[in-house]
Amino acid sequence: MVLFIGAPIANLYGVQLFRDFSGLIRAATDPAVYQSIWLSVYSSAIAAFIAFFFGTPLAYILARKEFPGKSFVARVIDLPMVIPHIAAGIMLYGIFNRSGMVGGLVNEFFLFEDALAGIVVAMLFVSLPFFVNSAREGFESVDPRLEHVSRTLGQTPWRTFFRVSFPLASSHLLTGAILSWARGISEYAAVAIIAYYPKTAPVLIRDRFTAYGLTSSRPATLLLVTICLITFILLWSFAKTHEADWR
Amino acid sequence: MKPTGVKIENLGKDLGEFKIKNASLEVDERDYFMVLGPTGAGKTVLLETIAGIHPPDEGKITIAGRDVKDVPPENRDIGFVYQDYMLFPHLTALQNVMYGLEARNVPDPEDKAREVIELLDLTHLVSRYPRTLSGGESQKVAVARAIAYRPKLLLLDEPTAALDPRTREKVRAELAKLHSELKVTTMHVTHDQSEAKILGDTVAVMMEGEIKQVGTVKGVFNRPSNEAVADFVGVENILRGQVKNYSGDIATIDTGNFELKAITGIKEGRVNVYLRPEDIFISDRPQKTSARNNVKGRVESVTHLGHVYRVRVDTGLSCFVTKQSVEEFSLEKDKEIYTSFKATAAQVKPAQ
Repeated sequence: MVLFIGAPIANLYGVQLFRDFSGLIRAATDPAVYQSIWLSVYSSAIAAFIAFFFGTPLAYILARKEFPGKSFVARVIDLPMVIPHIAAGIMLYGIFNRSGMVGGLVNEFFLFEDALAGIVVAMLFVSLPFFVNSAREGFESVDPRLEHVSRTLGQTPWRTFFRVSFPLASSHLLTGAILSWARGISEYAAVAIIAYYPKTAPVLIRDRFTAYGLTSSRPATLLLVTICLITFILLWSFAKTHEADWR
Repeated sequence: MKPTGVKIENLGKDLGEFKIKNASLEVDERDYFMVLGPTGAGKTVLLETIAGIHPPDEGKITIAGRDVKDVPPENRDIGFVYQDYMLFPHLTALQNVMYGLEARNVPDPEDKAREVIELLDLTHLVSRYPRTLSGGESQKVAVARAIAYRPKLLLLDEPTAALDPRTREKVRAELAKLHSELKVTTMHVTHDQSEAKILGDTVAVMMEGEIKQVGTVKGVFNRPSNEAVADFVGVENILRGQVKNYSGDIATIDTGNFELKAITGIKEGRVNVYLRPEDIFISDRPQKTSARNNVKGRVESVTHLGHVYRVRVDTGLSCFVTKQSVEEFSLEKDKEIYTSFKATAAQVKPAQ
């Protein structure tokens, strides 16, 4: 299985570096390419941040509280993982287009269609389950009695959350954020439906593949994969060192 | 009379697997109060309900004269120690002890924390993280954290149960010392009767969610109120019998295997007799004292229990003897011996 994942990556680098290095240089200096990669990276970071901000309290409630309809809520959160992303794009477009339920409300001063906000919405939709599920697992791994002790020691529920539950679940939260960020970057279908422009890296790669074929789309692909791998490694190593002193 | 530290009236809480049923008890201020009961008796739920972690289904809890019905845990003025310590793993020992002081905005939290740390002889551990501490060290840090703020009530949930026997004795000694110095009202839950005897002023026996008996440690151990309590507090000899005659406070009771004399107010009918194994003496000839019961029998088994030996006799009696007695009377299976006990040691209850 490792080979199954490793071989295409190795092949991508091998072919590009040794058979078409000049193509790679051309792509790296092409503003359309690096701008699209940068757009992918930061719009996905915005989506991951929103997932973190709203998903953290939701994950905590799912981990700790019992309420009617809880398993329904949990299943709804999972839905984006089973809905085909092209369908997710169509559904989101239905609400966020210029005359849609949400898009129509704000279209005078704010657009989702073919705009950064649309890209973020599409990325958030597909990546939210990754964050919420990881965060929920993190909070479930914190013994509720640690929170009880904190309360008996004079801390309010709110401060108990920030002093105990949050730091102890932080590695799961960070993992969730990394996963959801990576998932956001990789999204093509939902993004392309709601915001074909400005072009994110996957849209640009798809565009070039359709128009000019493999050779033309590969250098941009390599650059995108490289950026993802580097960020991935950096964040993981940060997560490791971050908790090494007490774990 | 001492003022009341904690008062519980008709407390009820159902958490499914664990419950408390109509529990009432009073703990005097500065008392060391033991709650003794088998696993699953609802002891932890009782402490957590007092702490405010579970709202009671019914009943009333008063801590230091204050009804705590609507008081959240953080304002109940308590310290809580769990069996498995529950130290905050991301904080050092010192930070753990400081936690409650900071939460309550006590000035100079570090100085105050260090005072307690010194009191418990933990100074060498201050900068260590919990994962590097032994069980005994962890439990002492947990105790230090709970008392740093000088709470009005200290709740200890099986604080020695997870420790090895030697460490357990040390921690017990620390708890006793700490209580004699600080005089914090303490409720200590345990399933271990010897712990209750060593540490408690007063003891409540809790079984199946109910408080079965409350009294002084001596009273509960020597005068259990019913068979279930008697069995749990280590009365190994629960004999069924019939009062044959009664004169001058002394009943003669036929147990089937032998007759015994007991001081009791019960003059007739079927009775149960409770007799603690440590109140029975063994010898190779009848004792001459008139106050004693002498029962002849044959040894069925001799079991080594660590500090003492348990001897079972074919009369149905079970008693503890020292190694010295085992050797002196060459106790072994089928050896003929006399067991003797005072008429006051046998506790008589009407048969249930």
